[in-house]
Amino acid sequence: MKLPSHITSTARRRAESASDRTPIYAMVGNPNSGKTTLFNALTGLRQKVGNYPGVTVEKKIGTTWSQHGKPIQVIDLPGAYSLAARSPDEAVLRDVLFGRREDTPQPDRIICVVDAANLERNLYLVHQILDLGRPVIVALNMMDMAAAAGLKVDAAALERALGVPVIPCEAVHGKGLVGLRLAMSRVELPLARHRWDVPAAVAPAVAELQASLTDNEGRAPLVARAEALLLLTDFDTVRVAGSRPLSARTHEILGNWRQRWESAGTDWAATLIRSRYDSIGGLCQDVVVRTREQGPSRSDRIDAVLCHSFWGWVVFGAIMTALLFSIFSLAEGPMDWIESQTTALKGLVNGAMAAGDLRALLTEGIIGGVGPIIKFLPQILILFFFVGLLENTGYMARAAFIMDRPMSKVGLNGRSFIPLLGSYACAIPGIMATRTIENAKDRLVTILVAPLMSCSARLPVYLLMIATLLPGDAVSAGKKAGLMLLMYALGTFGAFGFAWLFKRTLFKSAPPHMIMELPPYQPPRLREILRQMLGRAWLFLKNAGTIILAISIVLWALTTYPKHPDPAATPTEQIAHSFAGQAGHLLEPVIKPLGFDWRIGIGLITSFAAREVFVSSMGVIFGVAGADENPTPLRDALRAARWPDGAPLFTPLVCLVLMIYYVFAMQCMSTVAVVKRETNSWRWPLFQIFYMTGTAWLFCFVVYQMGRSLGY
Amino acid sequence: MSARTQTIVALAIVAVTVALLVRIYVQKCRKPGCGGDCGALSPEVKKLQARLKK
Ligand SMILES: Nc1nc2c(ncn2[C@@H]2O[C@H](COP(=O)(O)OP(=O)(O)OP(=O)(O)O)[C@@H](O)[C@H]2O)c(=O)[nH]1
Ligand SMILES: [Mg+2]
Repeated sequence: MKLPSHITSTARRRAESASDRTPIYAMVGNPNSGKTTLFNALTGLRQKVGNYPGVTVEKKIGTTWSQHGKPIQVIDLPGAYSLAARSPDEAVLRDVLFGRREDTPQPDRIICVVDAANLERNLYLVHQILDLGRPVIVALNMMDMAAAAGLKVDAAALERALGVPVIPCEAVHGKGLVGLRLAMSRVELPLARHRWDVPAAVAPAVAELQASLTDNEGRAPLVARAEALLLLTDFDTVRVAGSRPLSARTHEILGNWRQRWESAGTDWAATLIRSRYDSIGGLCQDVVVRTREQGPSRSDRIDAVLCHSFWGWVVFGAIMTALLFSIFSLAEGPMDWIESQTTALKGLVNGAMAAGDLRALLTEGIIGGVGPIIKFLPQILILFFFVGLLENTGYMARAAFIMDRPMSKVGLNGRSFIPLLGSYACAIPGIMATRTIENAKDRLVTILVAPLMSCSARLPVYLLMIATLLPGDAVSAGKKAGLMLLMYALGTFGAFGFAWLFKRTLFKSAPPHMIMELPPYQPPRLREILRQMLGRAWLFLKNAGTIILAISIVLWALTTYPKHPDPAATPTEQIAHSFAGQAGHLLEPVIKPLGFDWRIGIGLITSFAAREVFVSSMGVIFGVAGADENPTPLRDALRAARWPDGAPLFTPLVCLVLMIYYVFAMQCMSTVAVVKRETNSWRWPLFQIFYMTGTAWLFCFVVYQMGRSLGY
Repeated sequence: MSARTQTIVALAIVAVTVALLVRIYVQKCRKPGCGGDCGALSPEVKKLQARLKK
């Protein structure tokens, strides 16, 4: 029999001398117990950390060094309350531990990160992990939080009870890292002393499944035993892309036993789970001492306001308003500075070079395309500062809590709100975050509506349109922020509306109950927020310097060639004659009812790559007209644009309609690719493009025609 | 620089850009996902993954 390649390679690796091999550690624990914080501290990486459950949804690999300078690989995993996976992120954890992932080696050793302030709940997973028979180190994290809650956790007693190293830590303050690294550097780690005896009546089933898992799936004996226990106690239905399915033989054995138990009328699964809880309860009695009786904690007192059915909403509204207001008022100065710099650069190039195609490429294509985008960097920074603040303090989970009621009206629950809220930054991490949703239908609905939330890529489009619509400094920042708020609200209500519709039609299922822990509030860690902010700023600039730059260059070529036969043709006539102009003219009949001309049409086509490309395309197309010796800001160029009959193109109504178009239309290739991967088919991304862009067209049509008939 | 040279240089830049765009697109097709654009994957991790592959 030929063994699958992963098994032979594992065997080969085992055969090599143990000291040569890089040991692999997995970070495992309940959600929000500080795994990623610890992982970052060990590896020096900067994976995302946040004070709410479900931040990490995919495995991440890093390297750290042992006390002896040898490399150690560490895998950071999503959190879970139990190995029985109920949602895709938990399935990632289960699959990595059982060696079911194709792309990840099975870890040799496991670091169980435990929240000392909630020891009993956290130990359930530890208990299951110990069954795997792998060397385990327990990192007793959040000792500061436990002390603040009036708990004294005796690490030595826990170590004695479990028989594995227990290291008290405070990951955020870097405490306990030395001890943890020392434990990780040990050549031999003791195996758990604790043994959990399976009730005798279940033993034959466990044995038979264990044998099949060892033979057919190639598991190590103890892992096979743990997996057998899990298969018997929980339905093992959640699957994620990249996980290896169980063999048919194992399925068959499992089905037989289930049937047998069902006909006998005994609930062995419940018995198994109960006996585990009893064993943990006994353990905690000896380990945790309550030093003082606790009244309501500080977090409880804050929650009395933030989760209040009225004040909660007031605060939520205030936060959103503050965000939008600061986007307009704080960013003004830096924006103007960036704009003046790009204008100066344009002038410099124009002065230094003779007229010609290369000069045009530099000024109109490159500076004209990338400049207007970079201008919005300050706003992006502000947006991500706020997002970081919400994530860091623990407000995110509260937002989900107060949103639970409106969400349940549309048939989802508050948990779906975290991915939606995350989509304000970018739909892609938002869609990834839906992995924490248990119900597959709800997850799909959330994925389908997430791109309707106004992401940061729409910000440049909105801002450009608002600048064109509400000219100059005469208009107060409040008015502009109000218009922006309207767009955000439109997207959010759109998302809710479609979720309601989908839950009524395509994905009928009962509204699920939300079970989610509200983590204690933490003071915002400014360094962490700044780091995340700078990371995003860097990505934004990188994007502007690569994809957007490239698209601008290509678009410039498409608007420049073929050249108009008459050398004295106006820039607009030239673009109309070009390839891009011809494509835009083809599209014009479709978009003319929305008040858009062929030049806007070119922007709509190019911005399918990413929404902010619209701004750079407008820069290339309309910047040409205003170029020459004294370049004007883009918004003035837009305001000067005319239809052939001399009527202004960017009327206030058209600006508004364009913004509405970008609220709804699915204009992002990266999102399409991620939806394809997360849903594992082309059906849903295609459906999404169709329904979103269709809605955008219809909505814009209605608004434009109504506005026209009202005389705007 | 004469107008003719300018046109040739400009067209050469455009050609290189198109080639790069095609390359990025093909890479995306082969490895779907955000390609790190979303911040869910740090650059350090990507470097590490590349090293691990080797
Ligand atoms: N007070 C205190 N806070 C901590 C400690 N360790 C981590 N935190 C905070 O706890 C929160 C959660 O940390 P993460 O590292 O994201 O937790 P995680 O286990 O990776 O969470 P998931 O990825 O959602 O499973 C963050 O706000 C951290 O700053 C600690 O020892 N003490
Ligand atoms: Mg994490």
